[in-house]
Amino acid sequence: MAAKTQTLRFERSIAAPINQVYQAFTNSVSLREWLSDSAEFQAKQDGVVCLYWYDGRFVVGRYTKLEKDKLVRMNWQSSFGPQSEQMVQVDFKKNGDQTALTLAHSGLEAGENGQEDIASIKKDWESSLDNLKSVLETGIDQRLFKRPMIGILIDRLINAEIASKEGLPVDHGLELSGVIDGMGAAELSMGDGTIITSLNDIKITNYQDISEAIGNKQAGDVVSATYYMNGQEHQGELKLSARPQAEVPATPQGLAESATQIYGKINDKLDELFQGASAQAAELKPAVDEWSAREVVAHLIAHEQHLAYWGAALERAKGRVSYSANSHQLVAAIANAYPNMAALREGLEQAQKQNVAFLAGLPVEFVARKGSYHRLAQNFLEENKHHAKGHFDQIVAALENAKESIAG
Amino acid sequence: MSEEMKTLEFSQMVKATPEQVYNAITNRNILQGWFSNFVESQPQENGRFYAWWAEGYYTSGVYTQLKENEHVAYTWQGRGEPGVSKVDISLAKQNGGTQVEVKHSELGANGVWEEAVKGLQEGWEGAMENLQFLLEKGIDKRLYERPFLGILIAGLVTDEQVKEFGLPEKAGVALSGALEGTGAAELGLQNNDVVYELGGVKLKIFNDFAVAVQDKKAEDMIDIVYYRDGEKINAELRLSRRPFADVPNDPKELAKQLEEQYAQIDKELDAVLEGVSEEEATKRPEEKEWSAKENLAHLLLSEQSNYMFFSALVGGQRPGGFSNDFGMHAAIADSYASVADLVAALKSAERISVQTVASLPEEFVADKAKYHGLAHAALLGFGSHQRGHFAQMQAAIEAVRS
Repeated sequence: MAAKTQTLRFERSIAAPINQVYQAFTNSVSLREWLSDSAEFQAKQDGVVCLYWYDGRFVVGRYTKLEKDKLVRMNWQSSFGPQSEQMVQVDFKKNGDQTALTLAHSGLEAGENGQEDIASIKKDWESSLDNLKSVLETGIDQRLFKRPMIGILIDRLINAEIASKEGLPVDHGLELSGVIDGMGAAELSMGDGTIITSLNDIKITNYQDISEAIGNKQAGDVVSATYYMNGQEHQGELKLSARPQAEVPATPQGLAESATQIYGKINDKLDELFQGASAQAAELKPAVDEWSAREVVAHLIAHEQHLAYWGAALERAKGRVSYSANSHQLVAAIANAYPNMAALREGLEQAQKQNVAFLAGLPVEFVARKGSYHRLAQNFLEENKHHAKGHFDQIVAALENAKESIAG
Repeated sequence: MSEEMKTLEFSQMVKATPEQVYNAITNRNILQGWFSNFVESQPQENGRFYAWWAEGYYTSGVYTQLKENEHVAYTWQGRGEPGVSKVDISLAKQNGGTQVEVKHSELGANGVWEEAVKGLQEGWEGAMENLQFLLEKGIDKRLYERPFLGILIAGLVTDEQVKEFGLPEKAGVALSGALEGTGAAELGLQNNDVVYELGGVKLKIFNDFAVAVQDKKAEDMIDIVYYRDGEKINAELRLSRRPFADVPNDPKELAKQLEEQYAQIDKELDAVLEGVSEEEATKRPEEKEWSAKENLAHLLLSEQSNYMFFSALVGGQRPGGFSNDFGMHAAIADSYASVADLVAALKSAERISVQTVASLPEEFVADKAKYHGLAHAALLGFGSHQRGHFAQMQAAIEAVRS
């Protein structure tokens, strides 16, 4: 005898064109922008439907019906909640300059956990659909926006080996190289050299422990923290702050100009760092698997090319691009493709020019895809700025090391 | 109430190291070369395992145990199956290779399970053979056996052609020729022949080809009915094998081959641009058609994505797809002061691709599944993309000059 199944129904009115709302249920790239962390969808009859979340949950199934800008029907199984095969039906209707969306999730069986599972699914859909509205109307992904920060700059992970070698008071934890003004860690007077050993009662032995400790929290929450400063143990209540969002320029031209400014600052800093460094010093690797200063610049070129490739794939809402700019072989190959440092620096500037041109030329249809446009902007602006900064220290260290080797 | 449970067991010896086999059973790139058509795999405890076959079957589960180079276990919920089953794969180093043992357990025995278990039995048997083939020969056995017709298709027959050729009904595919060295060429199939029926299947839509050859392999014979000059001919066609590149064991040798091929391409490019002014190269022949320079910008982006693709394969990461359709070519072309600069950048990108191959890590090269996968991607069809664009460039330049 078939168990009784339930259907959840939802409605939203979204101020976005109907084709964008339809795309949000049929395109892998779009799906990742509001619903899941990873998605693989083949928008055709019997096409694959896969959704994954970083916390390990996933949903798999297939499309049973699709009509462009009209409706979507899927069958799916989830790794969580009711184990019955479920159906999801989404209908789209134009309503003036709004799109009316109705979603029905049926085939839900109340299992061992009774109504709890179904209530949980209802809650997830409500917040996901709210996020869909936010992403399509404002470009802001609430999941990122709400992800809390404690405002720390991490130097390294402490382990028993390091602790005994350096005579540290603890054999695990995160050693900071600084804190971000105005956020929780700064407010507890943490700073360069502070070692955080536990957060939210979770012992910190690796980076995943941080996610576990604060991943489910929100900006404004408070977690207990144990930390060491100047050899003394401290306990405190650490406030979680909201993530700062960079201002996203409204037009491609504005975006290109902001990128140009950031590139200008990066190039000036590189000039400063390489001032007086010999060609020989630039080419010396501190260790067999560590980059020379020259290779770091080659990596920056690879990074810009990756951004170009990623950006183009995003603009086309196609495919997934993995990050290959860290490949040692690729970085060495790029470094070798230029006869000298001056040419390599020119190569970086050309890659930057290419990206500025790409940004300036973004079509109006892409700018209208607010979620994607925001993501693109964040990656080319804030993220790129932080990425470069992270490598400046690497260049300094490589050149210092080279100076010593050559002198010694 | 305990239900009768079934376990399927499979055993396969593979001439590869346990490390190489372990990678083949946990890395999604390699899994797609022997196991299914699409894979998501996160080889960590509670990481997901998802496999999808083009025929429509899929399974999803999580890794429950992993011991590097020795053992993996994951859960299995196949489409249409009434419950979750368990897969255990154990590897044992042997003289000359690795013994692979697969146990698929906690399968039901009755009702819906019967059909499912039959499918799993066949599936795993085939998969074990594919695993061995891929690791020992570097080729996906399914591709190796996929029949290759070797015909050049002009299109499905039109109503006029039905009349002209006197076809009994609207079915058939008009040919523009046959590929040298294939069974189709041996049979003498040529331009204007109409292939009407293959393996007893009338060819009404392109998918009928797949239906016609579904139980066939490369080198099998198949009945063919074709029309030439209004005459119906019955014959037997030898199904060919896809061309596979001969992969040199030394990556430096492979790099040299690529370098030579790039040198040839560069010569052809130089010839296309000989005597072409900046203005001619930069002008669009029509509003929506690329200028020669925009074609070059596209080739540059393609070559950059090519070496990023190689790097992703080396890193065992998911390689991005090649989008034939990058936008913003005008802007990118403009960011290069001259055509000469853009050509120099393209040639530099080619050198990077070559060097990436020359410097492939030893461990990567020793793994046939990984190394041959990259080599095939690099060698097969080399140059056809560029040559297509050279033709486009020539057409654009000619149009702009007239």
